[in-house]
Amino acid sequence: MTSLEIRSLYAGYGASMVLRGLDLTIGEGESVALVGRNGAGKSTLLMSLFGETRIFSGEIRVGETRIDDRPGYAAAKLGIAISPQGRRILPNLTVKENLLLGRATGRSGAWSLRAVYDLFPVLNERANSAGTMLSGGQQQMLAIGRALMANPDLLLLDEPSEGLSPVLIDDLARGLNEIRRAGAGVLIVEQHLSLVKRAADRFVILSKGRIVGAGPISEMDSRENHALMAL
Amino acid sequence: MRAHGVIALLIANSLALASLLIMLSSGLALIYGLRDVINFGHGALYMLGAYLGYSIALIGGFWTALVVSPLLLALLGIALEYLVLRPLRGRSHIEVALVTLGLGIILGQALIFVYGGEARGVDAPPALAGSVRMFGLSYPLYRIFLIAMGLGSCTALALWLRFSTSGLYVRAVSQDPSVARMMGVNADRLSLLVTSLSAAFAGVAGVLAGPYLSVDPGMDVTMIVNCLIIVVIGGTGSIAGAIIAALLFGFVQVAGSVFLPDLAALAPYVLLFVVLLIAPRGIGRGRAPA
Repeated sequence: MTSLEIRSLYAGYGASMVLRGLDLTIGEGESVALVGRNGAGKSTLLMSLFGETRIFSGEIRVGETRIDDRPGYAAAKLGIAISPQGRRILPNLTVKENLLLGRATGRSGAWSLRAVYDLFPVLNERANSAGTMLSGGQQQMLAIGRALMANPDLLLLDEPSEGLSPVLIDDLARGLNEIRRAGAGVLIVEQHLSLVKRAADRFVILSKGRIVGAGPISEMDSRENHALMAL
Repeated sequence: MRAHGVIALLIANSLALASLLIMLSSGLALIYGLRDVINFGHGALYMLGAYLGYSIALIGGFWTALVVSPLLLALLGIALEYLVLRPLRGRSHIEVALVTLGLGIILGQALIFVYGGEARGVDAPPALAGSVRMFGLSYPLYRIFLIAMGLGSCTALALWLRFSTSGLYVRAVSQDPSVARMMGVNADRLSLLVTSLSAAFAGVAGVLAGPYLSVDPGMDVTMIVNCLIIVVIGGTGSIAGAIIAALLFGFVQVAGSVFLPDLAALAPYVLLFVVLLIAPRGIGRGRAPA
């Protein structure tokens, strides 16, 4: 079954068009890496799912439901959760409150406050601290934990390794594998290619708002693909 | 009068004024936080609450007015949400502000047309008509009731925001509407709740203002200006900031009228200037400008 289907999507901000006829399908439980240079349109694609961009034309479907003409919260209600670029932790909420915000979708499943605390124990220890008092790595765990609280079918991760030490990136890779074992699909936007290789089944290369390459993750290191990523 | 008596009187009168301001400015801050809209018609809702309270009190007494007027205002808040705020979603701040200002003026003029231009006095209910001894002074019981209502509504609002799920979502939308939306929060549904609650609070404040300040055609303008100052001092969109700012405003206003009566009218603006100089985003560190 298809989790997410994007057809001929043209989207951007104001008069500026960033995505130019993008097609992408992600199946249920599939893990896909979206790679490409800065400005290729990776984050714009993720934001388009939540009504944060201007959609000029095209279609976005979650399962059978078309969402590009629906309010921004529709994607979340239908099982798409995001850990956005820059984490975007709400500063005046505690760690626990930031996590509970993830339950706004009303979806039930395996991910509860307890399950997230088991995955990221430091969040339990700092449950009553303000979210922005955490270190960069802890904030990243909080952003992912918040997304998991929605019990998503598809988890979107935008630059999850940003600002993390190599040790924390290892922890993150292990965490992502646990999340995948629990049944959720993952769409990861990431510059850190070693993390991508450990977290995804296949890759998609985005350049200037279009998909210019794709394949199984084992083929990502080819010279041709590196050339496409540099476009 | 002894010094501690003067201080007690000053604090009590500040709290009485702040009680009305808290009910009004917290409602204004809630709507701003959720909708990113300054509702310039909020003062007119307060005035409508006061006039409705006056009319209902003539028929059924003060206590009936204190229940019925806020309920009617809550219904008007629902209409405001569906007929004004939702259709204007996505329009510029200035457009929405002008529409709410225009609606406020129309409502104010309609009330003057119905009730006439003269001020109406409202008696405190018999149970609250007397005075109590406090620090060797006689203090009106109605003002103590007003303070209790102000602090009670402030506490109820704080508990709702802090401990309920909908309160958590309101705080989230007020801080970052975009993230709240991405997490699945339906701001429209919350806005319906908040707009009707804000209007009901304006209704309560209007009824309570009757025996305290009288009911007159200019009460909306005076109060909306004060509330706007409070919301800016508190940090736009910050409910806790608005509550603290209302307490501060009440104290500055009352202290100014006691110690510098000729300059008292300037006191709120001096307070606004000083607070923004020290904390440009207000006491509650309101939402950063887009």
